[in-house]
Amino acid sequence: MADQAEKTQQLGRYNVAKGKSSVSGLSSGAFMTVQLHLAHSASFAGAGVIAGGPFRCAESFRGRSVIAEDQYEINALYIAMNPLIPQMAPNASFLAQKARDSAAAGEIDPVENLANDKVYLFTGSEDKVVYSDVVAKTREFYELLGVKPTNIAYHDDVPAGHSILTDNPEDSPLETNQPPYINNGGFMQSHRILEHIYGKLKPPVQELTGQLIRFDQTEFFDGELRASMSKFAYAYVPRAVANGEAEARVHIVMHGCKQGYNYINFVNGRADKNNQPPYGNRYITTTGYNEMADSNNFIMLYPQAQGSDGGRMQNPDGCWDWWGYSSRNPQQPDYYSKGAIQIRAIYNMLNRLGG
Amino acid sequence: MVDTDNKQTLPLLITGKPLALVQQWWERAANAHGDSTALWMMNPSPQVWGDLLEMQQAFLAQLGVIGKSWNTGLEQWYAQFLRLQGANTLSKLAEQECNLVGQFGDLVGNQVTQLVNLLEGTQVGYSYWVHEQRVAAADKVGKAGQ
Repeated sequence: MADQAEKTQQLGRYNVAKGKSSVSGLSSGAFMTVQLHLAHSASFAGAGVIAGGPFRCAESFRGRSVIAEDQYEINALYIAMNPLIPQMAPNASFLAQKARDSAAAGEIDPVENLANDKVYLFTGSEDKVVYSDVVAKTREFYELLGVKPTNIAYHDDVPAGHSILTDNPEDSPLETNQPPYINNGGFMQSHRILEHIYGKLKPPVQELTGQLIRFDQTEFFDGELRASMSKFAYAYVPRAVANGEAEARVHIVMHGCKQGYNYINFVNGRADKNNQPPYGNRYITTTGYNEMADSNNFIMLYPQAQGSDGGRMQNPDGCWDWWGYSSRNPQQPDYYSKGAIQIRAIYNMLNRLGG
Repeated sequence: MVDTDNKQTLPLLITGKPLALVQQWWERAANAHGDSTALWMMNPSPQVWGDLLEMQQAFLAQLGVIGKSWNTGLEQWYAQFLRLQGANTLSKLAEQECNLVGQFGDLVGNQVTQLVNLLEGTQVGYSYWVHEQRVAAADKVGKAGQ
């Protein structure tokens, strides 16, 4: 039996170009992508958002709710994911102002950093999980913050369900809205995201030569359960980067809900540990990121979230926090700033890599 | 790993949470009523009436989707009921019967959840929408009066 310790490495440091990192994600990973992009815009050159809403959109309507966290969750569900009509979607102007206020308060990097960034936005026209009306607001939000319209690639005309698209024959039909949320659209969406952010890249390799590293990510959030992050995370490091022969750029890949490697379905409120979904780490290995990493010297970083239900923390689907469940104080949820537990953990991973 | 923030282990019914959630429902309804009254008094634009019509249509469409999923679920359940003829042992028979009861319970549970979801979503969405409209209308009136 192989030594378990040998199968896990500590995340290492590499020769990484600073300020040229990027991030992309699907669904809750897309909402988190926007949060990471805004919180640490000095570190990023761009972002790829598949079915995600604007920064702090869970705070669209406070009303007179006694507990802020309850209201944020309600907003997340009914305004930021499934508004009944387009006019009930988040207000981009209001949220752009919130972003400016957050920057002024030092909670996130200055929004002026976004000016030259490239942003890829995608919403499938058959998406029943996060409506297209919401993603349209994300585009408006970025434009209001000064991102040049020519730097924004906005796609809403593919009849895709809620998913990241691939060209793998075994992935779900294009219009599907079900886990594992990886659909066959006849192209690798990850490649398009990277090419939009960085310009023309070398074609993906056919055979990987780098290494997929498994590391213990608990050191980045001090093992606190409220982080709702798994024990392990992954990083793909191309051989030339590992050998110190090439400078790398880091791309952070944020999976969506129900897509972490150890996602367990909750049935009638109970974790169904006897029937763990079989797709495990497909988001890491089959979405095409690593093949592009190898040919273009990207380090791909795959942080992992996990679920919890029944206690104070309501995150049964293992989603990234974009409505405040991981906050210490339910009256002042801090899930979007540099100090938020998940954002801090992921940023520390980026720092460790050298980005 | 250390659990520092997830200590609420008391069953839901004795924590007072249901009461708080129902209270929030009524508060939202009261606020929306106040915003609605204020908006109507400011002579809402035709666009407001258009939005309301669109809202009703969207609500009915979603109700239709829920009804369709109920019919489909019931058909599937009945088809399974008809197929259950092959039990060789008492234990298998008991398992099959219990499965049917469980599946029917799931079907009803899903329907109730979807209906409450639609009602809650509509109420939250309407509260948000009418609040935004009221603020926008008040701004317009204020500017016109300057």
